[in-house]
Amino acid sequence: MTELERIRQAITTQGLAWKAGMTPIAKLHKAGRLAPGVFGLAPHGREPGGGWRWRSLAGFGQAGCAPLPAARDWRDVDGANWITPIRDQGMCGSCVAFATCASLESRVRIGNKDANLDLVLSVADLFFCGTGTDGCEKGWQPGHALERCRDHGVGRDADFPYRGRQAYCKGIPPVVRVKRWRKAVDAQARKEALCVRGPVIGAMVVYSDFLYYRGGVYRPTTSDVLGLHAVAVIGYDDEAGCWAIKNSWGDGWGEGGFGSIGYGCCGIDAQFAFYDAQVEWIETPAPKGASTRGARRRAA
Amino acid sequence: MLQTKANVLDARADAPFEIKLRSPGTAGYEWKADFDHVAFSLVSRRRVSNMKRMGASAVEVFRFRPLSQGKHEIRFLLLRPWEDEPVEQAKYAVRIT
Repeated sequence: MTELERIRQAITTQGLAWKAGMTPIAKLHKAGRLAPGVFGLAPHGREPGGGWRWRSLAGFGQAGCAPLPAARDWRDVDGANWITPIRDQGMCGSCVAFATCASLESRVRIGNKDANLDLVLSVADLFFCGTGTDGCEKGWQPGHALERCRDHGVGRDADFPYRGRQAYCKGIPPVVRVKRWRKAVDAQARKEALCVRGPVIGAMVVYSDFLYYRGGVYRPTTSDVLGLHAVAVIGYDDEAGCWAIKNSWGDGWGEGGFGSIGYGCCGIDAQFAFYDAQVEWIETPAPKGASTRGARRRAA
Repeated sequence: MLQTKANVLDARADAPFEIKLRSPGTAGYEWKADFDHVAFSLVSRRRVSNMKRMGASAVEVFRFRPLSQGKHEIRFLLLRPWEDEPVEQAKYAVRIT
């Protein structure tokens, strides 16, 4: 039995609501193994604090989110798509930087009430300047990424494009800075953070069958763990019982690069916090005679 | 151009052996083994994942049992299931005595 056949059989047997698929070249022999899935409440290692404590919005009458709606998906809010295009991390463990940039880009759009705002942040600037020369292999943590965004800001992708492999830091001017951040850990706080300010940075345990995900509400059929993975959480749906995520594996994975993770699945809403950042779009000092990019300043 | 790592391995006909390959932990890639099933059987496959940092690389461990003496090749391709082209390959020339 191939891996795909095993996954499809497990989906049917367990009554799950997602689709699995692959391309022909990958249909090679594979033997699986069930690995223990015991993890701490949060990733190991201390993370810096964000200088912002959680206070519920209940009773504060935040526009559009009090009471919380049963669903929110920033791909379609007020008839507009606030999510920037899907990107691809390639063969580098830079998921934290991709999830961070995805969250910040959308939050700047939302804060400036401009869904078409042209802002593609430099994942390379954030990741390679923030992690040094072995980041691709060692990975990162959201708290450290946000700390980097607070202390140094993030520049534009055009000034330091991402190539999918380890690179050296290159100093570029920042266009976005994080003012402060906080962790949302209970269901209400997670949804408030998403609903009010936009996509958040989330994390999950990745199981081997997640590579074969093609749509629907994902729940693992195996305990074969690949590792920890950061994603941008861009919405939720109480009726379907899932979080909407923006992944960084290109648009060939999942549903055009997006996915739906079942509530309670993969540690996304239990072991790992949602990182809720307050973002500032800052001016770029422009050389004389050049047009001023990012002339607007507004906190998101 | 596909990056290839070539290796040579000696194994005894009566003893299983392991091949360990480093992979990007959660970038969507996995190693696929391509080998002559007359020469080897794949006994098990396991991953040693880094559960400390998000995106950290992992090690995949393939355990084979030799089935026939001689010189045989095991080829591994690193690819994503939804993509056509592998990004890396590793070749092992295994001499079974």
